[in-house]
Amino acid sequence: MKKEHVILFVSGLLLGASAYLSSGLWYFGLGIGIIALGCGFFWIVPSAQEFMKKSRIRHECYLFIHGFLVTLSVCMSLEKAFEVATQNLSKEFHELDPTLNTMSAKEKVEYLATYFSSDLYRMFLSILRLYLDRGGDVLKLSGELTAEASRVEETEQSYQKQASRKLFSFAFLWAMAVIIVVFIRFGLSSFFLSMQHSLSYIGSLAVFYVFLMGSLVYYAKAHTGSLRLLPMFRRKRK
Amino acid sequence: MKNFRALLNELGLDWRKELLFFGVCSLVFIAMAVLLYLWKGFGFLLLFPVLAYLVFSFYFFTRYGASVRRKKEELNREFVNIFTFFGIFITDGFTVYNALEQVKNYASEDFAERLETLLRGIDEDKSVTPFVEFAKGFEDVSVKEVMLAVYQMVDEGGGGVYIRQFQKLFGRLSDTRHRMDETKRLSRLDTLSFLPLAGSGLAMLALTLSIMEIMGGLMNVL
Repeated sequence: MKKEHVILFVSGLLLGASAYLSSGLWYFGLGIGIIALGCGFFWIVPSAQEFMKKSRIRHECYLFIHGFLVTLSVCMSLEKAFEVATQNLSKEFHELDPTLNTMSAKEKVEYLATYFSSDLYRMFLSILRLYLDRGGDVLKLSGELTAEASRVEETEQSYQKQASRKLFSFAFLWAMAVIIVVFIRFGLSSFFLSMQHSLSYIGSLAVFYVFLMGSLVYYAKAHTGSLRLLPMFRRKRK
Repeated sequence: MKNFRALLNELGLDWRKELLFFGVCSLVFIAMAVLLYLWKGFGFLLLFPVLAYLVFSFYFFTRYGASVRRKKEELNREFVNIFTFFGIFITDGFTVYNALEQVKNYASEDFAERLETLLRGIDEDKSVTPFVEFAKGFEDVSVKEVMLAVYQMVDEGGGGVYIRQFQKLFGRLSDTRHRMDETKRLSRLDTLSFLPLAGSGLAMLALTLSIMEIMGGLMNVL
């Protein structure tokens, strides 16, 4: 079980428990818990996983391009440059395709366009082609590219650092709101029996929890840049 | 109404279909309110469809403006991407015209069309006008500065000074764009921090209404 699934399960459980505590109705708590798990399982976790995957690949692309160009300028060998550039990449990268080892260095670099699939990598490929066709100083040729890659990387790292802080404060504020709702029950224990049978109270609690889950899904969309469904439910591109 | 139609035309949408959809959704909300009224009578429960309708209407009419803004941002972002390629080709000794032709291969359909218009303009008019016309399609003023630097490369020959000038201006534009992107994404997250507060407010409102309802019931009994 992955870390994000454990977090989802615990959060779903806590939300279900809080819904039960605030309403005193087990089926209400169960319903909210199931909806929370559903939202997390179908939207929030796939979006977070996709975001983390994209971030990892973007960072690897940056490392690969830098490593490759610097080694190529020193060793003048595509094989050596590829070897050095891929040394520190992730396990996922090395498990990419077993047939990769049978290809030549140029073919490998071309093949990786499907893995990195970014504008920066396309630029890198066109520079490499230019370099192989016409020669010259590869570092000078790629000056604009490395500058742009560094700008992208710096921006993304700075965004992720600040976005994590904002995510924490968002989660903290929602936790406080849920705690307030739960404490209403204990604070107004003399009223609670009547409130428990009031449709408006239960309806309002349901609206509160639906609003909470909607806002979590919306926040996931804003944080990760796009909302992703589980892969099996995604529409295939024509 | 004219502005609304122009906005929808810009997005390639049919205003009649959009209004029809809005009308149908409005009828659904009205039907929900009527059903609630028939079921529960005149009470605070009627607030839910009314609030939901207000949120829906707000979202429905603001999303067009947001789409246009997104489209313009996308165009500016593509300018940075494509002109990074351009910088690479220029550094490698391509002429401005050839570099622009080359970068067309990396552009989206819309951007490639703009580049095509620019190239046609350069063919017909050797002045700065085609470059200025091209820059007019972008909101960012720095794009105009970059395009003027590109024109200087054509006019004065692609010497090192002009390449460096282009690189400096373009670097600044790209830097600003990345920083603006980051600020925008973060401010979107900041805006969303009102949601937990709204949630707490909702809970308080619900509690007050429920207590009032219970107290009303007790008073009726007495």
